[in-house]
Amino acid sequence: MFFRFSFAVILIVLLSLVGIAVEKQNLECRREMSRQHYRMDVLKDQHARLRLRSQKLAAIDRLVETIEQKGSQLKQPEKAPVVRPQDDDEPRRAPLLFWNKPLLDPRLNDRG
Amino acid sequence: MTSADSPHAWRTSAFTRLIFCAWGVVALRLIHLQWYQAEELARLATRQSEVVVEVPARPADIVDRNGKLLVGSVTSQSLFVDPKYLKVDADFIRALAEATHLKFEELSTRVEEYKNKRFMWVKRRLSDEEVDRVLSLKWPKNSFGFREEFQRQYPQDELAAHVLGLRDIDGEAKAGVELSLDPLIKGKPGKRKLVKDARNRIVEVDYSPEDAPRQFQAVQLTLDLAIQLFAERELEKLCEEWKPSAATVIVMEPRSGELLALASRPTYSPNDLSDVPEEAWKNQAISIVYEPGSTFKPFIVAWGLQQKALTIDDTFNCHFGTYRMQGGRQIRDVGKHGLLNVTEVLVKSSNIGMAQIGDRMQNEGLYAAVTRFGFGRPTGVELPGELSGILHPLEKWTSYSTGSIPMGQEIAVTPMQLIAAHCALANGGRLISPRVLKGVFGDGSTMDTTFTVSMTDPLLATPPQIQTATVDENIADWVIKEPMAEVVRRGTGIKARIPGYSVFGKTGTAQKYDPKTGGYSAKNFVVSFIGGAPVNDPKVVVLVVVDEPHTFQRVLGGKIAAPVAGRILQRTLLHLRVPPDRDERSAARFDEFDLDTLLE
Repeated sequence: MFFRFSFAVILIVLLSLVGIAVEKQNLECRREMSRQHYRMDVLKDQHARLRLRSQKLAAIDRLVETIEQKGSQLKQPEKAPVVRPQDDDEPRRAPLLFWNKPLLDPRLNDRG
Repeated sequence: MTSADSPHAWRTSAFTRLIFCAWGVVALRLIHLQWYQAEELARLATRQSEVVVEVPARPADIVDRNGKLLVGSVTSQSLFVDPKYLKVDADFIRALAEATHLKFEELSTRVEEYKNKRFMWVKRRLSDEEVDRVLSLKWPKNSFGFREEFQRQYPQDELAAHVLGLRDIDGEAKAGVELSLDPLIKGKPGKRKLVKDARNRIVEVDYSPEDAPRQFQAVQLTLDLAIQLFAERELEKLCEEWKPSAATVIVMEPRSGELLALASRPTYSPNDLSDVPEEAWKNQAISIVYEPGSTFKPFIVAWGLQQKALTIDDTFNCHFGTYRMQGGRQIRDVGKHGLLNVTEVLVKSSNIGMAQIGDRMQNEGLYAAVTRFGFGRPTGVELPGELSGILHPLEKWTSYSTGSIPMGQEIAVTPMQLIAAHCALANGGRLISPRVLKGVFGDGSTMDTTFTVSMTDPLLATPPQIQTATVDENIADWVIKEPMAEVVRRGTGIKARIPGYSVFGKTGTAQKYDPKTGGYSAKNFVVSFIGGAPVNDPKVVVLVVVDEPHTFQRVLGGKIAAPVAGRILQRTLLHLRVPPDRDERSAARFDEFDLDTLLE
């Protein structure tokens, strides 16, 4: 009788402990998910900030000014564009433009 | 002696029954709580522990046709206080003002005004540095807070400011595509459930995917940032030289109706909205109307040919500068011309020739031409505030109109209407509503939009576009390849010529209405040039409109607007890698022509 009662009590206590452990784990998982979502939000915002910054630094207005100050100019191709074969579906386009003077970027010279 | 006979037996029995009764009461109460009051109590508990907050959707980025960022969003903190809990003194307000870069007097006045209220914005959209400074202040508990808000930023600064528009401090769209495409850009806010403990601390944040905010990642415009820059810089130079009251440039792809660039002056920087003049808010491309003058003539000729009211071989006697119409009205030309064919009428921009064409077409034919090319109604471009222009009903037209309409008077158009109509000539006769929206990127497929959605295409949305037939393709081609090409080759548009490419175009110089005299002003003009290239397969059409250029010379579209349009055309064609179509040696024989000589 005593053993049966003790076993029942121990079983109930053990089940309760397992239940509590599972609940704690569940809660921890949910907290971790919350943290991950928060981190994701922060990263998204950081990404947006960095993208904005990079786009500001590479704004076409700034680049064109830099290029023009260094005296480079767009030059038309000297040769006539190469005529593509008839079976090529791609429309005929002029070759890429090139710069009259090389861009004098000191960082490029540093590379040796 | 048995236990039942024990004197304590009844006590034990009574105690046991009492315990059972007590447990019974507890059990009944539990059943009552768990069965009958369960829902209500659960609701009460939820209300006390759970808070549902709205999560704003991040407004979609706006990018150009090549993916260059035009508008982006970042989160920023806005500071609010609860003045009731804020035991303020002058030192604290001074410290707060310093931390937030506000003026001490203004802030103390506001705090005094709000002292009996429970909420006051101190400053919206603080910088990170300001947030750190504010947090370093010793605030009373529960007296302040930050609210996260999205802030729009414009990395290209002034470029395409009138197309992009802006949002106010509360994130509400106010102009440009921000307003017209707001349902695509704004997104749908989501919900987030927060669970709090007894001390009001957040212990859990529930992110359920179905409650997440919905938004598109980016809205792509048809603008090309490089072409936009060319247009803005040329317009800036024009404004410095001629100091007009307003000016606009539109660059359009005639076959698709896609806007490649739209610049308007005066302008503003969306990153700094302090001290913006009233006129700068107006998008001159869609919100002004003017009499188009000679740039309107090709439509009348094209419709006359379509209706067989004239043929390309017809000649008109231009009476050496003065002509009296059938209704008795006298028309004058700038130059003195004799017999001119249809091409020459347009090349020399003869008002007398056009008046005779008007006499042939009569008001009904002219009205049909005007409406067929889309004048008198908005073009349908996705920009807010587009005007319809001014087109009087046919019943109000008189014999005077028969002479005025063919030379671009008695009708007022927006620059957008004019370029859309010229694009119809350049693309073989299809009038296409101009468009600025190219598509949208991202997971917004659950959003309610009026756009057709295709998951297989990276451009998820394609806006509906209206196409109307105007004139036959051969007529449209003839107008472009003959008279309009000749205008640039040897006519008033000679300054729009560019090396390597054949250009077509038409100049316009329209006198403005003078409210003082009730007639046309002798000194205020709207000069314009519309042109495109290459002639055989037009890839680009450019319109330059300059309102009241400041000059004492006789102003002409060919002198002010044509060179600007030519330079924009040249750079645009090079940028789009359109192959040159003209041999420079054959072009050299036209070099003896000079605009000033031509105009004498």
